Amino acid sequence: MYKERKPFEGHQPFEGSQGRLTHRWRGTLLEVERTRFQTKTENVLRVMTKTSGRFYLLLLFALAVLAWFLYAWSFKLTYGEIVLGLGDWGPGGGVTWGLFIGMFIWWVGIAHGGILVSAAVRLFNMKSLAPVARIAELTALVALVCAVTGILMQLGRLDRVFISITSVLPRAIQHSPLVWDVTIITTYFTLTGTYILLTLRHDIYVLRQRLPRLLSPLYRLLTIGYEPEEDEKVERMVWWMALGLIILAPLLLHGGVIPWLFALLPAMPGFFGPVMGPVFLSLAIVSAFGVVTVIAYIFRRVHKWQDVFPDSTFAALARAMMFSALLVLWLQLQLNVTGVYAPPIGVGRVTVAKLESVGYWLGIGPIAASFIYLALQSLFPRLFSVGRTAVAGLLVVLAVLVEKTLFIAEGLMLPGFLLYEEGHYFPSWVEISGVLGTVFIVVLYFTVIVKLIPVIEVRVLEEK
Amino acid sequence: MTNSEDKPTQGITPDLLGPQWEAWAKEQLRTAGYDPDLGVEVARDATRLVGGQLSEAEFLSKYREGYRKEFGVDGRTSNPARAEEAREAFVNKRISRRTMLKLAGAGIAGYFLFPFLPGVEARETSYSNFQYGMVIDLERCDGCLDCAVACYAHNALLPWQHWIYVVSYVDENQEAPNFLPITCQHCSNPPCVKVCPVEARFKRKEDGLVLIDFDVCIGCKYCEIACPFGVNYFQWGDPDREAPGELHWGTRNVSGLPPGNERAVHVAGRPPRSVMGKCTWCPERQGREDKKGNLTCELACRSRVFHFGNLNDPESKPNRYLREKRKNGYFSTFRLLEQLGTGPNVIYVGQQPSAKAKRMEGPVTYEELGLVDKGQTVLGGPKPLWFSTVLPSR
Repeated sequence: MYKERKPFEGHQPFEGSQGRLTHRWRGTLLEVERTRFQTKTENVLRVMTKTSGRFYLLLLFALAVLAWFLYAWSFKLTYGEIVLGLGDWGPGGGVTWGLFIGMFIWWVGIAHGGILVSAAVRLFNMKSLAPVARIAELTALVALVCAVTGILMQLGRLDRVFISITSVLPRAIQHSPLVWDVTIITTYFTLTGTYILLTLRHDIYVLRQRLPRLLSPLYRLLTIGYEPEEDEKVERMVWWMALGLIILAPLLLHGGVIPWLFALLPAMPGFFGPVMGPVFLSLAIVSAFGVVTVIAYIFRRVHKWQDVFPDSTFAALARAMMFSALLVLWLQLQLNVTGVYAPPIGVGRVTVAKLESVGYWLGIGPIAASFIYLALQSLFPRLFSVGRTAVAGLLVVLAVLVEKTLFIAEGLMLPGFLLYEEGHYFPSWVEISGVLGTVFIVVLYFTVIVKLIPVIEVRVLEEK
Repeated sequence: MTNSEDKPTQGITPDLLGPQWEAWAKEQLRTAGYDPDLGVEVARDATRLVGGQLSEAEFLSKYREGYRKEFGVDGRTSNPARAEEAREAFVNKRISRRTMLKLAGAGIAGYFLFPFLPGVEARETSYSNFQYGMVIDLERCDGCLDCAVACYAHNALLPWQHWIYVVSYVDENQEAPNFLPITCQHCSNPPCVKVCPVEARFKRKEDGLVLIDFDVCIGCKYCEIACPFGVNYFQWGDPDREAPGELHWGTRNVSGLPPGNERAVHVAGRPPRSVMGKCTWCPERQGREDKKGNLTCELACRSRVFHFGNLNDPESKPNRYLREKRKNGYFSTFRLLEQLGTGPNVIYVGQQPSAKAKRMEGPVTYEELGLVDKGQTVLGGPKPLWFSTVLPSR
């Protein structure tokens, strides 16, 4: 617990060098306190304790955007789904799912990729990516919330959503991929939250004297029942959870249930494909690396965290992004080659339409461009720039959103039933406000959370 | 105080309830109108129970049947004090983590396996082998769209909700237009039912109709995505007029229960806002003897294109029509997208459209009838919504 307990052996208070009460930690004095630890940790703690006017400005702006988002949502609730750019496919010539579902896959991909980054860091002890591990975890958590928001926004009867959980789950889970999806995302959300909490408790305990006093109830809540002896156990638990997540996220979630939502359906050739799992997964990973790069870059710029997120971290992120972008391009090549050369009629029609549309190249083009730049950068180190890496990351993230939305819309525009006209779709302002709203949920979340908890692990900060 | 009289309960023995007592007791019970033998036996055992020679559980179970038969109920309950004791013995026992995990695992497994239990399934299969279906004779259809107008009026639809839609097309090496009326196919293996996360979409067991419970549907539109025929129409905004009240209701069997456990559900006519709708094959016209087996589109058609009835009955309308057709020699039937394995229950009589078939204007257009609206035109692509007003005009 955060509140003072009776001191016990191995946990003796003593006077620190700066006249501040610090602690022995598990029998050993924190030597690093006086060297590197101090500067990096101070750098992180400075952001938590000192707040500038710009923070409040950003907070206000984010809240204003969210108010707009809520207005758009209430507008939709007032008038019905008629305010969306959607329509009925078939004789209606519309598209039944659009930006909201594209956005759902986009966010869920970022969440799954985010946890993969963090779990890989923990399992393989990747030093250079360790500073962004917790950011990746925190991104995963908020991205899941945004993904669920996307689903809820496109639901017609939000008030009945609990029916799916309360009365029919045990029967519907046997056949409905949507119920698999809800179940596994809930599991995943719980796992991710637990995973973050477990590693966070130790850090809060270590830093508890220097965290803002105003927030002590929060820290008391987060460290409820904490005892320093649990660290060793927690470390093993977290390792196993990382292993579990690294199996769950790619195999069952983004390489499984999410593409199966589409690929198992008989109606749309655009959704069909045995490699849909890997295709989804590659896009998820590249977008997660993109988001983590962008967030780390913004933190580095705004909070002057050059020592916290060194160039080596960005170089590692760039390399990871490059390889995952290559995977994306290679899998797209698979889809396009098999879709163009003597395919079944429906598949051929979709592939040709996709290759001829501007949207597809708006989705894949930036990923290809980012790949080329990142490859050049890793070949010629003097080309390396943190800013350009972040731009590449941003491009990739936006491109994946375009690709995802197009996957949904184009799939529904060109159904397997060939007698129907080609459909048409353009998102309405309500849908665009929805995407903007979820982006600003993330902005607000990171603006605030950096003030609440250390967003870099103390374990990483104390490394020399 | 070791006097034998002070020993509780031991003083009363069955001897006290000897033959004389028995005769008296039986006489009393006979006048009261209850089974005298049961009464005597219970009284004897009650004394043994009080004397500790018989356990309470034994006593309760021994006469349960007898009591039920004689009095209709067994009002005896076990000793509350003992029940409390037993409860505490269970609760206060520490449950180990392993046991707890086992219990939790068994609970979860039971929750999900319950629907698979043989008893549950076996009771449901006792419906008769009944499947509504339709024979649509394409050779008779002239594309007049009477069926579409009748459906629109009967179900209080909005203009763009084509529950029955007639595609006019020309095929390879043809000049005359062909017409293909498409309704919901009420598949035997419907993908829309499988994907529904709340089981709002269901296949009615007694007649094989695929229906939507409008009071359960959450409006996720997944059924529309899963359907290969494009026959679903979401209620994007407010429906503009009320359907006649009678149209709203149909029946649905309560899951897991045998026939006769149907409840009234909101399945017919146009759906309320934010809920999925589609061709229902007029459930309000089915199920009553005087109305059985009629569809609005079928009644409206002047050319006798539609023949609706139980496909499993050789004497039903569709099967009789097929037999009649077969007598005339040339005969070709198909079902739409049969290769997908959804088991559509509409049999088309005529030539299947090829992959080269092209849409064209029919003799009567949907525009002429005013059945086009909201970002949608039937031929020539939809109107983009972006620049038009997003507010519903109503």
